Amino acid sequence: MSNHALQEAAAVSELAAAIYLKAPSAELINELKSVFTDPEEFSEEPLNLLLEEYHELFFNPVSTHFICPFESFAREQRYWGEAAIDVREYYRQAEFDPQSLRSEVYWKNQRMPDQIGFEMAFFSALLKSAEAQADAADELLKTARMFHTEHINSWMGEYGARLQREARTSLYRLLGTLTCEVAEISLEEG
Amino acid sequence: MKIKRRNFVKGLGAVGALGVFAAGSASTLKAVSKGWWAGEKPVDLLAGNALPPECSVDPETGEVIANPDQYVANGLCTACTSLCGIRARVDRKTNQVLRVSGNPYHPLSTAPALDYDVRISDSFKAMSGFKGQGLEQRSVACSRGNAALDMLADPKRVLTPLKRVGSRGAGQWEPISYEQLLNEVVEGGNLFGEGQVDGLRAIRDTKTPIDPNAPELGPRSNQLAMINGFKNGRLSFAKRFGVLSFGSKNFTGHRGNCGLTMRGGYAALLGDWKKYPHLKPDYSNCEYYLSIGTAPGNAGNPFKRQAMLLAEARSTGKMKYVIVDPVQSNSNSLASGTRSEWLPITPGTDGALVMGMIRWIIENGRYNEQFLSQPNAAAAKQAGELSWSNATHLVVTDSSSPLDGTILRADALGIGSAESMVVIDQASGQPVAQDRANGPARLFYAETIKVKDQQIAVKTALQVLFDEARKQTLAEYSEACGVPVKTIVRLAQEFTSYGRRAVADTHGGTMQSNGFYTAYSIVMLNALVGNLNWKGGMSSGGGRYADVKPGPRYNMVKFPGKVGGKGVTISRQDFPYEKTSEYKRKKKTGNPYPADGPWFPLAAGLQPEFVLGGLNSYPYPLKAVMFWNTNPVYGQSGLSNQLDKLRDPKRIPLLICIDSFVSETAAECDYIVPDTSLYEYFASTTPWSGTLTKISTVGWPAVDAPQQTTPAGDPISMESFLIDVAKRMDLPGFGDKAIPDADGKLWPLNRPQDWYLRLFANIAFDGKPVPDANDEDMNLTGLDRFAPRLAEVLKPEEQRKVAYVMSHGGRFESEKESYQADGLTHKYKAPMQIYNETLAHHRNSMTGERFHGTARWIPPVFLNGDKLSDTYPAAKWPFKLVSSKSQFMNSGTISAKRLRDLKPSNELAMHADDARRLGVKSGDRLRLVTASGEAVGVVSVRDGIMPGVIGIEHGFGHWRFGADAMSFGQQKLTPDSAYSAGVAINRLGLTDSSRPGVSTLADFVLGANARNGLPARVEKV
Repeated sequence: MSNHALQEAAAVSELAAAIYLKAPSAELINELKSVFTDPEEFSEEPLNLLLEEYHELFFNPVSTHFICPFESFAREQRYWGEAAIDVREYYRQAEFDPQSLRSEVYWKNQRMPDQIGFEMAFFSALLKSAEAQADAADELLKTARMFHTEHINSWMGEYGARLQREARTSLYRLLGTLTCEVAEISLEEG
Repeated sequence: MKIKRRNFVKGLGAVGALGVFAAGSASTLKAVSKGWWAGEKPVDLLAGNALPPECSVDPETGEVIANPDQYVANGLCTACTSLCGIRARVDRKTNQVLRVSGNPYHPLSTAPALDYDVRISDSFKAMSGFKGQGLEQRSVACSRGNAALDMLADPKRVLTPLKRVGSRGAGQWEPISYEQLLNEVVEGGNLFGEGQVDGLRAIRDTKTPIDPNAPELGPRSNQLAMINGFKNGRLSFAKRFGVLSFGSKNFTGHRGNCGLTMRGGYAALLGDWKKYPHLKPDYSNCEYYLSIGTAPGNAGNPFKRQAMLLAEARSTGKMKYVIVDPVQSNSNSLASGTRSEWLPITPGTDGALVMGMIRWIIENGRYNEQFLSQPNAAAAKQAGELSWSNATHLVVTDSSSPLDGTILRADALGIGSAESMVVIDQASGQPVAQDRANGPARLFYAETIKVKDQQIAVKTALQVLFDEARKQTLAEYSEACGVPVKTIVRLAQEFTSYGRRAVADTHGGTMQSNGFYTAYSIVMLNALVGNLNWKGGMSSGGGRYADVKPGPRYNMVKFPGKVGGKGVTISRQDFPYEKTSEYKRKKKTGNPYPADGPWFPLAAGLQPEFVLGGLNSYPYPLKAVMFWNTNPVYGQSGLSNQLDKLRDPKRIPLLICIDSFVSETAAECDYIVPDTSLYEYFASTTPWSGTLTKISTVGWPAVDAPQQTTPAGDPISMESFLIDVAKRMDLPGFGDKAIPDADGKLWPLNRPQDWYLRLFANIAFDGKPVPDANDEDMNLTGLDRFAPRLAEVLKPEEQRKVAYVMSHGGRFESEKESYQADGLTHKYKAPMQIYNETLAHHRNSMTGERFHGTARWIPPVFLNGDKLSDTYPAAKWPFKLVSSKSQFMNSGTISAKRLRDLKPSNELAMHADDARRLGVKSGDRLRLVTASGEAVGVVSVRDGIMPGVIGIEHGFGHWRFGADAMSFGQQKLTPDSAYSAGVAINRLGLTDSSRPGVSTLADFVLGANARNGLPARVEKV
């Protein structure tokens, strides 16, 4: 796999992670505009509407638009299921700390490892580490591949598709698209 | 790769909004090559590597097959002040606590509790899936109770006696031998190269007055102060040493830093300033629960039982509850719909809300007239009441009369005795002696009455309260507290719509400088609906079995040579300034007010003033302080900014701390004596009300403590240390002839078990003796290990009965005994005080003003009566800081790693409107500034907080325990930031410049530490 492809996979994963982990802000919107210039893909909408949708989609369990952003919930219909325990074990062994990420404080306070943004950030960090450490690259890519199979590809495609359907704003439809793309990343050679 | 081609790599800003990695780059990760469960296949695919259970129960037959490698010790949890019964599962081989859950016999841990006569093996069966009993009989520990066992094995635990090296507070310690510790503490000397320090032997002089010119202060033995914590079941032992044997009056628990204002409010209502009784709702049957300044299930006692019963109420819909609190806690539940309500309020103004309610209730005749109009116990009984009040008693309200503020006595009118009060008979309209009245009396009366040829103004007690409530309009009360008038009215209406099944309770949320009157006002609501002693009303608790108090087997408080404390405490509590030599001296030369320092004649357990009195050497100097099971340097708001005073050996020459950890207080001491931790010690205690039946909870060493032992073989602890000090000083009440049995024969007190096992014998034999424990009970609970100690200490007929009490974790009256018809079985006997004459008799020692005898609204003030808001105007100090209770942490649990994992830090909770106005968002760092200190924390923006308030969860932001660098001889400990995470609100606490010397802000009546409603401003960092 080329370095550029690795960088691209790491970048899209981090980008999607950032949109999941951070409530929309003027800064975030401005930066997105500079990356996504095609209005078909992303167009600016009022910040208060985006904030409302962010909380409706990911935070408010009584919202009719709520799409619970935790792997355990998506796959096992519960919090802190086996997926969460497994993901936490990945983090522990790899020495990845979600607390160190730039994220809304409430995601950190929940301390649930299988928040979709944390998982994407971890995947991105594995790829970046592989790129940075030539001697450990193979093992890190193997880990990334395993994690992707078990905890990304296994549920994020469906999650992204649902987000594309449910979202009322272009930002979160875009996030649905990006999520599907992350789910479909292939780390195989060639 | 199926990523749509975009210019991602170039387009993304490394540290911008579209990135998540701090400083722009991800940390370097390690490859995960072993797979899940660290590569090892778990023992069980479903249960993973979970511990094997303590037993298995045949689902068909119910046969219990115990795991021989474990035992289950029913005992006591002291990880918070609720004092729940727990069930510690222990590994026999490693002698380690494996798991902690609830004691199934204990009403604080389960509802309904198992009957006391159920054998231990049957308790295992009852908690299993056999016949589906397990869920019904589930008994739990809370998160803190589950995790506190981490503290047992914390590597920072103190295991040997430590002596400071260098100056106080420097964090350098030298391990010393137990013998050296005893020798230096008892004999004194030039202990630190700083000059002579008196040891305990020199200090103990029970005859010579400290000050011959002020003999009321008592003997020189008062120059040792013992400052202790909550009633964890061991306090009585420390008191035996400090008060009964050493002869110091200076012995206190932690009440003044905890919930003294609440206790004072109840003491006033219940007319007992000595025992300080207090009430709790009958949670199972009340239908309207107004909780002000406490959050059931999140804070206050009993924490877990409240949570269980509240959850039950939510699901059954029998109760509506309203939580009045500046911070929304998880006491509230949206899922409960309108049955659960959170009412935000400005800190320190609950008294305004309640006085508004009282005004409306009286004006609209919504009080319980039948209850309030009964002038004595007999009339109340005749009317079918279960308690009575002094609402009808006449109070002298004539400032020209020397009787002003007193309750008029019948002898003054020549109609009865000097003991009887006067009421206006409802039928005749004439004054009658209250004790002779045989029917209801008038509730409202404001006239003049002829007393010894003088017309003086009198009012009934209820009239006094009404007139006080009428001093402000509802609009004015509303403006003061931030609660709309219509809400005040609605609350009053609701509260008076449930008959006697409406209750009002409070706790530490009233720890403000106006806290006493706030609490008295809140609990007064109960009197207005007459709910005391009724099913669904308020209860003073079920009490306990005899233990320390003279019991059927042993007298634990009587012994040859007993001395007792005499004189005045260093806290100036329970003693009026007007009886001091200082007052008399000043009066001779003019105005005796203000005193040289505040006096608190109605207070009890006034821990903050023990510390301040010692630092100010007022009213006399202390020579030594012994801290045990307490951490006032962390827990007393405003004290930690004045540590230079505590570090000055000239102020208090000898500071000893008995503690398992180097707490903020231990770190400032000269010596640290190791102590046993939970599950390692003996204890005997009872819940703080909140249960309707008689409960004695005992703890005993389920596991051995890890620290150094005494020559007798006991772990060094509070008990073994004080025993050895006492024996070295030849103090009475310790040694071979110390504890009299029922026949007067004296038994030894040489080891901790000599005290506690005899105390357990009293419990076992109180009333009808408990059954004998059988071999199976003893084996299943690990008491087989204890059999030699039982045989060594107890008489043969006592051993198995004491084992029964220990195996069950105490003794518990059946919950079936809770009620008699519509009333409670255990009733509070004395009348409720609508007007408290004792309160009205005393004066503020700084102003000379008499205290008002009934509930009233007073804004937060300094001791001299000046309003805080005048010194700290809102324009300059726009925020108010309040502490909120943590479900995980308290002042001493930061050592529990599992709790830190659950809740690693606290936040500064700020209302969304305030955050928008200031441009602050969650995760931002803010600097809080008060007049006394600063702190930086992380903001959490919420809607669930009163605007203008910042809420800070208590228990975080430690600066000792391991948060700082320490050395123990050659061993160096590096600082651990996990201990210091978050903000400690008490570091921002205020002082009171209206009083001389070292101060912290206090309630002006009781001296309780004022930690809430601190005026502050914020700065973005």
